[in-house]
Amino acid sequence: MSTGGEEGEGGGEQVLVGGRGGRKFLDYDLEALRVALEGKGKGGRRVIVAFQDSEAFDTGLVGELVGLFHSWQDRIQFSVLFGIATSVELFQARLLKSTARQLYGAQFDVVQANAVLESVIMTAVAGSDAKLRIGPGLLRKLVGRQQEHVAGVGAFVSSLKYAYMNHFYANPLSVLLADPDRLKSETLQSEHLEAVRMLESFKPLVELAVEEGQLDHAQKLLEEDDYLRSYIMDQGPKRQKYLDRLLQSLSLITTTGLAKRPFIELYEAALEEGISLDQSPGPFDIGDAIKRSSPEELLALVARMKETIDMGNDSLHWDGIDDVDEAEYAIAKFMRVEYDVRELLEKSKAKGDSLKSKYSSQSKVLRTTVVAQKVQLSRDTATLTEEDNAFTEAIDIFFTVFKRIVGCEPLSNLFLHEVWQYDYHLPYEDVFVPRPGGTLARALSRPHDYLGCACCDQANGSLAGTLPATSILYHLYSEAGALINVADLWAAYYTHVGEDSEIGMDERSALVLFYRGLAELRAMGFVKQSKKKADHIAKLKWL
Amino acid sequence: MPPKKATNHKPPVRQSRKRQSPSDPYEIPEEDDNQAPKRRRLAKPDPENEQEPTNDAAVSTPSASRLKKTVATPIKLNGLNGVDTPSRKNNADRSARRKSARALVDRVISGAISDDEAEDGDIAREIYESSEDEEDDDEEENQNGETEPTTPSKSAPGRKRKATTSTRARKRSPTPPRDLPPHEQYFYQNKPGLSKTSNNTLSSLQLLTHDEYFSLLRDLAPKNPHKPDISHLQSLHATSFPQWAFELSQGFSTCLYGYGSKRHLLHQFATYLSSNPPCSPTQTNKIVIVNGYTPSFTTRELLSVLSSAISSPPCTSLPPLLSYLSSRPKTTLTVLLNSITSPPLRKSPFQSLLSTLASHPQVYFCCTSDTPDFGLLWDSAQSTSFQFLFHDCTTFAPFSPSELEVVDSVHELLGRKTRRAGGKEGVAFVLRSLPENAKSLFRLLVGEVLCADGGDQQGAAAEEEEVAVEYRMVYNRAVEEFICSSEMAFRTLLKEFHDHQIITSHKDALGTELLSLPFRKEELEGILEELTT
Repeated sequence: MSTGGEEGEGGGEQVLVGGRGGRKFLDYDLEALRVALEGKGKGGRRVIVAFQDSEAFDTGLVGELVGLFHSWQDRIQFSVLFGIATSVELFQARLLKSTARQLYGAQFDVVQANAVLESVIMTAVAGSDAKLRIGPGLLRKLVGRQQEHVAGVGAFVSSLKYAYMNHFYANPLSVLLADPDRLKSETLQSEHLEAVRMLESFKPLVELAVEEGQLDHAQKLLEEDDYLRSYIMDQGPKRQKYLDRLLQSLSLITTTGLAKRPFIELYEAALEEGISLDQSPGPFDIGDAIKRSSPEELLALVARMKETIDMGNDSLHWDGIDDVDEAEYAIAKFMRVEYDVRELLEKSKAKGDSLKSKYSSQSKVLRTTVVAQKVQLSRDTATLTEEDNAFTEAIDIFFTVFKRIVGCEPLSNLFLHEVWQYDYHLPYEDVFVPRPGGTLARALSRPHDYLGCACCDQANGSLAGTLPATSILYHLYSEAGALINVADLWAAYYTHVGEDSEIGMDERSALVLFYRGLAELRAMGFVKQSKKKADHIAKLKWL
Repeated sequence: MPPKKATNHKPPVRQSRKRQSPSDPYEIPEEDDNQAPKRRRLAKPDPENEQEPTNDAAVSTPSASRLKKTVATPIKLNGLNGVDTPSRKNNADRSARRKSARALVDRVISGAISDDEAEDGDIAREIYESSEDEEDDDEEENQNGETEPTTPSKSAPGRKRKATTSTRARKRSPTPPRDLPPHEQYFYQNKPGLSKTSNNTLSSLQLLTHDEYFSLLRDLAPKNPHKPDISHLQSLHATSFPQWAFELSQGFSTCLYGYGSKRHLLHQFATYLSSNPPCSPTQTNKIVIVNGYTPSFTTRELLSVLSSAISSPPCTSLPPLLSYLSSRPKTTLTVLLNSITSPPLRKSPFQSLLSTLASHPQVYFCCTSDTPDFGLLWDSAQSTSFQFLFHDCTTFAPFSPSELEVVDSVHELLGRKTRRAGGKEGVAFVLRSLPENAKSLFRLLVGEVLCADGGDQQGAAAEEEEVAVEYRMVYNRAVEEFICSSEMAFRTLLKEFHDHQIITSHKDALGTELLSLPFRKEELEGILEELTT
């Protein structure tokens, strides 16, 4: 109960007890808070009391607190902040009218969790500042957990942190992620090079070199440490180039506003499959949408493109196309298109026609005519005016340029991508989404998996006398019904370990282990006492 | 008799329904056959039959005509042909049942049994029980036979019985379908009527006492065949220590779960941390190991331990402790908690205290959990401040006596009296710390209970029933013997006994307050002896 109000005051009062002039205040005296505020000077300071989960809060208490704050309003400036999950109307309906009258409020809408998540991902995962790329598989898991389990953004952030920790912990190759100017080639020991030669991306690199006939290059990569060392050192700029290209493509695609999927999915797809506008259907098949756009839409699109190429994308920390030549070429072409389209628009307006391209207009029209009570179908090609053809040409030019500046290959095609991509979801799942029930069931049903002992090897998940007592009992437990007779359980247990079995344990010793197993099952919450019958226990867990 | 009447009609109707939807995936024949008629008979009598309770014309009601249609199917003919066999079989079953019942009774009377006799007994019981649930059907059939011997409806239950004997035999098999997913298994095992267990009790087995348990365990423990494997497993977990320390240093908390005691592992981890602290080299790290499994563990104890560890003035709440810690940035605190899911720690205030503690930047928090349900313990705010990373640490190590009170726990599970105070010695120990008149009162109480026990001894029944004496009577005796002068003082004395669980009180059906002692007769005699000398 002591969230919100009380705690806020607690901080001030602690300092003050026995404060000025030897006056002592009781813990709950707001006078203490007032003196503390005045003592800190300036005046006009506000005290903000936040109620995190106002629905769960006792309504009567809220009412009294508001009344109390109101009566102190002339001495202490109170602001009250309510977190409301339902609606303001419902919240107000719960309060007394007199209480509601004492509140003067404004409504602040909380940003949707998805929007927060997207901006976090844009900055911390996709953005150019992120050294380590979180792979598409892991990213999908992380986002999935956010959406399915309603975990807060905090959970996402710590998962991200853990991914970084995993990548850098005991990973010698992570040294290659250091800044290019700080990474000296001497830092790379021969063990590093050996590790690099073991990487999965090394093999395709050499194979490609052989295919292209650069046999010398391939041989040197394989054999000469110094050659490989300098080759690795050259990868830093290449990585940067790839990243720029990736962000450039993504930014431009999102700028068009034509992609049907949210940014996170586009990013995942881009890492996994690369970006190709030709692939259809695919996440990036926006070509048709661009071609179908009307002259006005095209003009707006061109304007947005020019701005993005120039200014970049703030949330991705990408500041426009780096390559000056390419940027100038693209902007020049776009301006040309813009100029042409404006001219064509005016021309067609003067003629009283509407401007259309061969993509947007239905080029073939089906005509139905009724002749002598029979329907005749005839195809008719809609004629395109001269202006229309020119506009079509402009669209084609725009699209060609767009295709030139948008597109990249999948991340896994790059040499050394293992060094700067982390895409293992198993450690993450083990650590953040544990399955204690399954773990326990496995440990108890197949102890050999953990113990690796010679004696239980034969059991292979079934019941055997050599298993630990709790494990035997668990096997019997899972065979039993909802109600278990302990006498029968004991009898069954004893047939497995007793004097007639291979184990040959005497009754009292077996009973000791039986006791222990039963007590452990109980401690783990598998069974409880049942009053239905004498010496019976009830089953509580189905794992 | 309206209810019986209802049964005459119901089974065929049910059958017809069944035939209409033969592909129903959730239909389980044996269940339906055993349960449905009974329940229906009890739950609500058919309104049709209520109107015409004893009238034979019920046969001509719409339901009856439907009935005739259904029995005219070819299946019914089979039933008619085979009508003799089941009835003869029933008779055989019934006599076998009678015999087995007699065998069971004999066995119970004779008491102790040898092993192969027990096997015979099991077979007898199986026969007895397998025919038990057929009994309902038998009765049903008999009624049919009596009231309407020639109507076709009679054959229907007969046919049904024949058809279901094989499925019933399947149901009797000790192993239920094993590859069901857990939730299906839950529903399968919680089906009403399936929870049939034998009437065996542990009365023939002498339960373990604390002394016997521990003396046997001492001999058994070194003989555990898995001992080397367990220590090997532990050493495997120990290789993760650097990783865990790294995770702690990054502001996460760790939670170790899995089967087996993790106390020793955590202790080893503490040893590792003492030489490789997770904090920066300029800071000094204090390590506190908290045993959460102690049944009487309180927040107050935790706070006093923590405050003494960082040598702060004793605190009664967490905020001053944490602000003290914040004011000393050179000190860090590592808290290693055993069994975060133990009963005293499960309360929400305790967990929120722990989560606040764990979220402090200078506190490194690592805990273990012995139960698999820890995920339900924390709300989202708490899990956010805990920042847990979970690790599977199945150790298979046996729980130490302080972690798990094996004998008491099992006896509690069986509903036997637990001797919390530790039997005779415990009582003596408790009484030694109490004033003289408390001792006299207890002596009086023991005497009264023994008197009452001797008075109405009724063989075996007296052992089961706890002997209780009337509160009022004990009070009067206490006043007579000048042990106390007012009821207030008497109550105070009794409360002391209650606190140590050496006395229990309850009210009987008339509301009379009764006092009893949770000890066996021999123990009581021993106590009395000790008190009088």
